[in-house]
Amino acid sequence: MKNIVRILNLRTLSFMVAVILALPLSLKGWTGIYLWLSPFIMLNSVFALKSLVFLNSLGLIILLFVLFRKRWFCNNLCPVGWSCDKVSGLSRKTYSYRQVPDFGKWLAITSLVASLVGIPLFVIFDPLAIFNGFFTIFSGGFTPVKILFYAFFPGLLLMHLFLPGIWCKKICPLGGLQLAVDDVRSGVRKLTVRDEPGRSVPDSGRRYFVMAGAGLLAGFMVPRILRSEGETIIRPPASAGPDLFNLLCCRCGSCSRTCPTNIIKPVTDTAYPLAWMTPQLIFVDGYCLESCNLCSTVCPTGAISLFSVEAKAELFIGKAEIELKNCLLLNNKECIKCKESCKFEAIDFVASGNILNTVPVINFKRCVGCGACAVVCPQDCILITPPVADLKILS
Amino acid sequence: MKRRDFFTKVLITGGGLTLGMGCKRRIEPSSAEKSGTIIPVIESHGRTIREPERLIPILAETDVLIIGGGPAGAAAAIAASRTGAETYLVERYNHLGGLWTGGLVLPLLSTHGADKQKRRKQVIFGIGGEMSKRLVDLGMSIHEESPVVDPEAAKYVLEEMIRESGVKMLYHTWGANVIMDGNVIKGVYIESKSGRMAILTKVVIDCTGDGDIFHMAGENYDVMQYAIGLVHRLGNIDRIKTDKPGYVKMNTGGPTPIPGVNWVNMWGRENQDALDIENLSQLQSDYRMEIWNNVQKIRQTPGHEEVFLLDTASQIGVRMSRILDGEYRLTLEDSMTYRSFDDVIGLSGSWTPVLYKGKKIPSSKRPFWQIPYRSLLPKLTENLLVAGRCFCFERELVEDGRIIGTCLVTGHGAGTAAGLAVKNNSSVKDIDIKELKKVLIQQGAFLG
Repeated sequence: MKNIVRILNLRTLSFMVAVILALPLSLKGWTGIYLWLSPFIMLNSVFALKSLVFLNSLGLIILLFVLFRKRWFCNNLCPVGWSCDKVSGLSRKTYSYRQVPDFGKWLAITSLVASLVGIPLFVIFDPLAIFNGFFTIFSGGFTPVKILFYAFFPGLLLMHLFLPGIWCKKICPLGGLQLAVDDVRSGVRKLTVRDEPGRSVPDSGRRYFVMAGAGLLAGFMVPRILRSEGETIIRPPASAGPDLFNLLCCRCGSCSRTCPTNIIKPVTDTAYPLAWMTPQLIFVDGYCLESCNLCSTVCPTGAISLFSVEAKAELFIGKAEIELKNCLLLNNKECIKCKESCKFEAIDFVASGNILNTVPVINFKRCVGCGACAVVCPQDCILITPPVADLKILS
Repeated sequence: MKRRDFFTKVLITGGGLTLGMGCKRRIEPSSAEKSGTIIPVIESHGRTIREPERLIPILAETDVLIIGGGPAGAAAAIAASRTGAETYLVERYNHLGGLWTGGLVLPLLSTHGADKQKRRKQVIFGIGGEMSKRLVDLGMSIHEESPVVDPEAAKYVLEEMIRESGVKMLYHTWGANVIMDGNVIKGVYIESKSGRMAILTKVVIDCTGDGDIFHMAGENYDVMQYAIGLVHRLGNIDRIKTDKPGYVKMNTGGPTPIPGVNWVNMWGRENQDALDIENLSQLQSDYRMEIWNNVQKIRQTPGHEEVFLLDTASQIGVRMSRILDGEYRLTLEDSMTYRSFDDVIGLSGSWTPVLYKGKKIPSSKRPFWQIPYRSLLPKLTENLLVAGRCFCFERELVEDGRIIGTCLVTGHGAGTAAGLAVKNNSSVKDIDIKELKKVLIQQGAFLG
């Protein structure tokens, strides 16, 4: 009994829960709940978007814990830390890495400052995002880009056979953020408790300044240097504009796991390396349900902004275009599928010239591009194209 | 304080402050007004006149009376008669088969559906299957699945089967009103060249398509406004010269069993009230002009000179109007999940793809679906059955509920049930379901 209690400490339990949540078990909104716990993702998102959602409070609570308990998240919740430690246990060597600079801390500082002026730079290196991203492996359909992406987490673990503990101690930006919080705490103590000359923090002010400056520069420059793919990818509803999206998205794959109709697939097109593994909508056998906002509730970074189901009629995903040549209606066959399936009443049957030439016409003011008509069309005449720029929100 | 410390602190403070900015990021809908639902109004100009009371001659007293001789009515009449009941069938036009023949809606859709192993299988058997088979034997049916038939051959086959089964036919006759005793239907007033007459009966089957009888009997119903079209046929399609200079491919519809003859469907105008006679007349007139003009346009196109308008349908193509509020409302979900009913009277298939729970189910993968006896039973009226496109199903199922295959199945079920009710001298609501199913299977129906 005692053994069981010892094995089942909080972190082991947390690892198990994280694995269960990350598996494709159609857990709806719960599948992404772990990502909301990461204070690193939370701060990046809040700094970049200058706004909060309710679930950000989870990250804030963790941040509060970290303020009072050193590396509380790493020691009690982190599933990546747990697995890294297990692999490190197999290695006989131990290193303290005293000479190695705290890469994690500087990643975190740079990323956060860059977020303030526009782009979250290193949010994809959040350990929870890497962990959850790996579990999208179960969605299948392997391409070279996907294999490269999936190799990241196993590679990380493999690294610990030779350099035990390296990730958690030196590289992890989430750990680095907690180190930075430690610095703040000891800085505060230095201000309040004056007579403690022995315990001085090594002079990191200069490094902070340099990394923050680098972040500032990156925040201003990166979006101008990296040209995005423009308007060619169809994103989930309420997604950020194309330039911001690629950097804001942490590639955790929660949206693709939670989608009830399974239409959110990762981008693996070699033409857009910046957008690799970000979500796009593929309308093959399912469409974006009019009564669903699950992807927005699981997105921890706000790349897909939280929206209410009722707002869906105003969130333009794309627009439908009809190639009339094969349309059954124009060929005097009985078909009302597109009109019947449209929940936004965006398709009208209009007689052009003669009543025998009745054709479906899309009302672009109403069509949000949910893809229902494109999916149901027996002749596959309807294509969803990305929306016109001025209709897209948050761009 | 060092300058760099100052900058660092400014950045951190700025970061902290932005936390408070623009809290609550959640996209809510803008308060847009909802469009009101359209309630059908039949213009009566507000004025009325009282008809003087008069004595009506009783034409006949019978066991089963069927109003409407479309696919459902013809199948119901044959079934009732074969079950042993004396049967009258009232038809307003001069032919049997309704929209299938007189409406020139030639394809017998939904004959097949997928079974649980996803194999495509024929499901329309029984009297409907027999009609289909006789048409095949005559060589007047093309395609095995959802066959297209020749309308005159179908009229002939239905006539032949009605005569064989001994049904008493009344052509050129309208069911004008119901004869009620409380909530029990006792017969129907009919209107014809012989004037107003009454037929008294034990059971009435409403196969009017528009649900005229259950409307007059005071049942509750849903009214659906749908597109109304008018089908026509073109002749000399085989004489189109594709090699003529200036030839452009024109839309000449689909083939029928007769070589050189095509049938041309028309979707027609949307959201039409099929219960407004002024509207129907206007549509009929407009459509006739449009068809004629369209055919002229085809004839003027090089290569199409010999194409001609063979005929327009004698019945306007009303797709949907009233839907009964019956004992059980069949749902799209029932049709997608192999839902089995204890009181199944037949199965129907599918012919269109559908979106079910956000996913596309192509028509070839769609399950066949059972139709329960309860969905043919009105809630209020005794001894009334409803078959054809106005039986009780939800709007999402309309594309499969209004189809000729489904009408044949519901007609057969209702006819046999009426025959059994008469035979056992019971109400149609209290008939022995086990016996009904046994007799249906004896009559060749497929119950899954």
